[in-house]
Amino acid sequence: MVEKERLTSVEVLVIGGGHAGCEAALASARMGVETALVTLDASKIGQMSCNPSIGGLGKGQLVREVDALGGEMGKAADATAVQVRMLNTRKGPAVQSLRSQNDRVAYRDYMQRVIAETPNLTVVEGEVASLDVDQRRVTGIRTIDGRALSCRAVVVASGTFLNGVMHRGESNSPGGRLGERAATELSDSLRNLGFDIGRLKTGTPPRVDGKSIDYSELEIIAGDEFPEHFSQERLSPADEQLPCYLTFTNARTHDIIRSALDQSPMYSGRITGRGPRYCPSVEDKIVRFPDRDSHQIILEPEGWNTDEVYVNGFSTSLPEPVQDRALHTMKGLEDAEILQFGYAVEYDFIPPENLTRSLETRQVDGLFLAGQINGTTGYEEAAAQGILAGINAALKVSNRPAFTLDRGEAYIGVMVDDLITKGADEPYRMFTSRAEYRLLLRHDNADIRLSDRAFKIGVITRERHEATVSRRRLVEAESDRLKKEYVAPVRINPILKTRSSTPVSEPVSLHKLLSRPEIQYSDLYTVDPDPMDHEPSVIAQIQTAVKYAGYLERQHKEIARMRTWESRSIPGEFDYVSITAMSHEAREKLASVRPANVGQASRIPGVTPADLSILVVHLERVSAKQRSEKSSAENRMFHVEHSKT
Amino acid sequence: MTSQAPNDTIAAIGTPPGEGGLCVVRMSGPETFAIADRIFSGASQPSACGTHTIHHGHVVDPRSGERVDEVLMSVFRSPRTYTREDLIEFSGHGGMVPGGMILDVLIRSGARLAEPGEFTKRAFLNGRIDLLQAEAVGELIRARTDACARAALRQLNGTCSKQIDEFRIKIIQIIAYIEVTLDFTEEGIPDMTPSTFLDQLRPVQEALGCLIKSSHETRVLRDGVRVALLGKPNVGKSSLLNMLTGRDRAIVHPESGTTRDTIEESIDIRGVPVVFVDTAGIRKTSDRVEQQGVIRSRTELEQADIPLAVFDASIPPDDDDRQLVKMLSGRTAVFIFNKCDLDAYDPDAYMELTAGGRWIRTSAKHGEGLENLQEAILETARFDPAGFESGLVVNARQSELLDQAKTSLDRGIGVLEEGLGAEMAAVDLRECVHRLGVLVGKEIGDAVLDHVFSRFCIGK
Repeated sequence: MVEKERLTSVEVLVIGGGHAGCEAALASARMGVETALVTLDASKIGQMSCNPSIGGLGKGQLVREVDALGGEMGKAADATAVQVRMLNTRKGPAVQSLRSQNDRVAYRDYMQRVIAETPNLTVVEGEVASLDVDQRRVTGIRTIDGRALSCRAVVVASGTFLNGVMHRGESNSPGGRLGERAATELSDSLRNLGFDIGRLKTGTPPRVDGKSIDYSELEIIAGDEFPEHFSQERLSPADEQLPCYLTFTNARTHDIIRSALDQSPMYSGRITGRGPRYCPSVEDKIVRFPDRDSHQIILEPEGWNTDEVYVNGFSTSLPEPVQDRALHTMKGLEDAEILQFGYAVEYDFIPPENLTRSLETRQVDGLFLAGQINGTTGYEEAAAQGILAGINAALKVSNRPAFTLDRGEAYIGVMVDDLITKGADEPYRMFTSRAEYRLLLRHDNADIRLSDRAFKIGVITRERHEATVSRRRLVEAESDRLKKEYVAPVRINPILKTRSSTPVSEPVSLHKLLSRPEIQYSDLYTVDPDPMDHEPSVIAQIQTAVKYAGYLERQHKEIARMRTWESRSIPGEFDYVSITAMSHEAREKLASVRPANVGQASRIPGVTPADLSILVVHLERVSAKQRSEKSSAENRMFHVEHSKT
Repeated sequence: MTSQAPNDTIAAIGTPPGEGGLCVVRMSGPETFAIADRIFSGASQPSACGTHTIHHGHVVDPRSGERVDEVLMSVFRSPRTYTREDLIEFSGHGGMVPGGMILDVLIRSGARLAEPGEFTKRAFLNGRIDLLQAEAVGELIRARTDACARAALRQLNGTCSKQIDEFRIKIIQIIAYIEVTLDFTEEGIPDMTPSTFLDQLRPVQEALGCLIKSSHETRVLRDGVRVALLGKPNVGKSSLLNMLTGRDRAIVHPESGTTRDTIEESIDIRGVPVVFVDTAGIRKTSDRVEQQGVIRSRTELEQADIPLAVFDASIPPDDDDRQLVKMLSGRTAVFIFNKCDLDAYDPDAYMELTAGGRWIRTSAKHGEGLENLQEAILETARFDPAGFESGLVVNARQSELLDQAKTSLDRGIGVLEEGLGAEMAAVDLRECVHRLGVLVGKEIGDAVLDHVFSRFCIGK
C-alpha cells in the first residue's frame, strides 16, 4: 500500500523500486515482516527501463528460480506477455529457456498493483540521503528532506540511479533513467561507511513509432503456438500474440557510425565506466568486428496499446542526428520516426567481493545490496538478487539463519558465488555456460530443485510444495519403471526402423531405448504395457531424466565433491597475512575476498592448490586450538566445582 | 579444483628417488585394505592381517595376473599409524623401476597419487602431529610443492608442455564455438553442426593420442629400455653382454648353444636404465631344450624395444643370419658385426645383407665398439639424455592426467558422433581442458566466455 500516514519505523527497508527492489520488498513482506519500499517515484515502480522483454537463455532459468522462491517476476511476465517463445528448442533441454515480450505499461501496472495489495508492505516516496549506522549495524535511513525512518535491515537496490549520468553525443546530464533524476547523496553515504565505489556503464537503443515502419519486407519472428509459462501458477496470457520483426545493419549504416565515432562518448573518453562485452553498443560492434558488414536488429513491440517499437541491437550513445541517419539506412526503417533516442548511462556500483552469500555486506550488519549496485546487468539477474536479499533481510530481523544457495542448487547460487568470488570487472550477465552443473540446473526443474528449501523458509504455500513433490516422485518412479520394462527385438525393431535407429538383437529396456537421441517417449507407446498419460511437461521431464541419466549422475557426484570443500568454513576474521608460507598474491586475494569456505577459496583466481593446502592446515590449527581451549576451560570449571565440594 | 577430497586413499613412493637397496611404497586411507586385497598375493590376505605385522608375498597386476615385485608388506591399522588412517607399506626391490610399477598397480586399483607432503598433512589433520608443527608443515608443503613444480616444469618445458597447452587452447576454442550454438543462438550467428566440431576435435584427439603413446613409450623406457640380443649361436652374444655389463654373467663357452635360458641384465647407460635380454640363439634346431629357448627368443624379440642382432663377421653369412634379418624387417634394429679382432673379419657381405640398417663394429672379446654401441642404443630408443630430462612426460601423475584427458575427449567426441546433445559433449570437453590444465598449471576459469566475446559479436 502507498503510505497513508507518515511511518517512523519498519523492520526491513528496501531502497529502489526496480526489479530487484520489488522482489526484495515483496519477499520480506510476504514473510510477515513489516517492510517499506522507498523510491524516488512510485509511479515508476516495476518499470522495464531497457528492453520490453523477460527471460532468455540463462536468464529464463533465473526467472523460474525466482518463481520457485515465491517471487513475482515470472507471474508478471506471464500475465503481461505479448509474445512467448521457448528458445533453443532444437538443442537439449538444459539449454532451453523461455523468453517473453511484454507490454511495458501492463507489466509496471501489474507490479504496482501487487505491491499495493501485499500486506505488511508500504511504499514511501523520497530520496534516501544516508544510512544510519550504529556500531557497524544499520539502524535506519534519512531522506534528503530530513525525514528519518528507523529499521533493522536495509536492502539497497538502486539500479543505475546511484550517481547516474546519462550520455548522448557530447552532452551529458545527471539522471538514472531518461527524464528521472539520479540519487547522488546515497553514494557518498556509502563511501563514508567505508565502501569502495566503482563505475560501470550500460546503454539503451532508440524507440521508434511503429506506424512509420514498413514491415512488408521484414522477416517475422512469431511466438510459440502453445506458449509455456514462467510461473508454476500459470497466469494466462492473452489469446493473441504480437510478432517481432528482423532487420539488419548494412555497409551504409556502418559508414555513418564509423565516421561519427569521435562524437561517441565511449570513444571520446567521456565515459570511463566499463560496459559489458556481451551487450555492446552498435558502435562497439562495428569497431570490434570490422569484418562483419551486417548485424542483426530486432524490432520489438512495446505493448498492446502503443505504437512504440524497441530497436533491439541498436544500443547507442551517438548524437541524435547520427542516430537518425544511421537508423534510416536499414530496411523497413527508411522513414522511421524516432520517439526516444538511445543513450548510455554511467552509474556507481560497489565491488561485490564485500558481500556474503546472503548478499549482506561484511562492513555493515543488516545492510544488503541487490541488483546493478553489485555490478550485474539485466532484469532477471536483479530480480534474483532482490528476492535473495529480501528473504535474508526478513530472516535477519526474525533472528533466523541466513538462506543461501550454492553452485549445485541454482543459477542464483552460481551468480552470487561468481560475484562474491571474482568480483565484477564488467556488468555481469547470466549465461548457461557459467553454470558448471548446467545439465542439472535446468529451466524445467527449477521448482523441483528449490521447492523443499522454499517451503522450509515459508515463501511458498504447502499446496504448491506438495504439487511439486508429487511431480518429482512421478518423474522418478517413471524413470525407474522404464528401467524394468523390457521389450523384445521383434516388437521394437520395426519402430526403430521408422526412426532410423539401430535395431537391437536382444530384449532391451525402455529406459535404454529412450536414452537414444532419436527416440521419444511417444515412440514407445505401442510397446509399453503401461505408458503414462501425463501432461507434456511431465513427459518432457521424464525424457530429460533418461537422456541425461549418466551425465546427471556424474554431475551429482561432482557436486558432492564440491560440497565437501564448501563445508569447510573459514572464520570471518581469519588472519591470512600471518601465514607466511602462503604466496603473497594468495594472501592478498584471500584477505580481500574473505571466502566463506575452502571451496570458495579454491575458485579465487591466483590461489593455487599449494596455497589451499596450507590454508587447510592453518584452519585445522585454529579449530584445534579452539577445541583445546574449550576443553581446558571445561577442565577449569570442573576443577572449580570440584574444589568447592 | 585440483585438490581432492580428504577422505580418499592415497599412495606414493616413500623412499627418495635413485638407486637404493629398498623401495617403500606407502598407501593410506579408507580403501587401503580393499585395494591391498586386490593386488597382494601371499600366505595371508591383507584385510585379515593384524596391525603392526609384516608379511611376505608378491604385488600382482590384477589386470594381467603378472607378478610385479616380491615384497614385504607392513600392515598398520587405524588409529595407531603415521596418518592415523589404515596404512600399508610395501617394501620392494630398490630402484625406481619396481617401485614405480607397484605404485602404478595401486593407482590403477583405486588409490590416488598423493600430493606432495600429503601423508604429513594427513598426519597433522588427524591430530597425529603436534600443533606447534603446523607452520613447519606449511613450509614443508610449500617447499615440496615448489620442488615438485620445478621438477614438473623441467619435465614439461619445451615442446611437450607447449603442445599440451596448444591442445588445451584448441579445445577451449572449440568449446567456445559449441557455447555459441548453445548460449547465443539468438544472435544471428550461423548455426554450427556437430560435424564442424568433430572436424576440429579429431585432429586434436589424434595428436593427443600420439603424445600419450610417446609418453607411454617414454614411461616404458624410464622403467627400462628393453634390448633383446639376437643371433645364431656362438656369434658372441654372451660376451657382448659381459662387455656391456662389465661382469661375467652369462656363460661363455665356445661350444654353441650354451645360453639356453634367457638372461636379463639391467645396466645404466648415461642415466637411462637399459635391460638387456640375452636369448638362446635363433636357428633351426632339433634339440628340444634348445627349441624351447628359440621360441622364447622370438617372444623376447616381440617384447623388446630394440632388437640387437649380432653376427659373426669373421665368417660369411648363412641361412640362419638371413633368416634373422628377415625376422627383423619392419623393426628398427641395431646390427652388430662382431669379432673385428679376427683376421678373417669381413663385414661387407653383412652390410649388403642389412642394407640401410644401423651397424656397429665390435670385438666383444677386446671390448672394442662399446661406446658406439651405447650411443646406438640410446639413439635408436630416441633417447637423447638431454631430451630425457627436458622434453618428455615422465611421471605417473602426468601420465595419469593425460590418459584421463584423452578419455574425456574421446567421450565428448563419442557424444557428438552419436548425435547426442552438444551440451553433454561440453561437459566432457571441459573435463578434458581441466585435466590438461592441471598438467600445465592453468585453470579454465572464464577462458571459454572470454573467447566467445573476442570471437563473436554477441548481444543486442
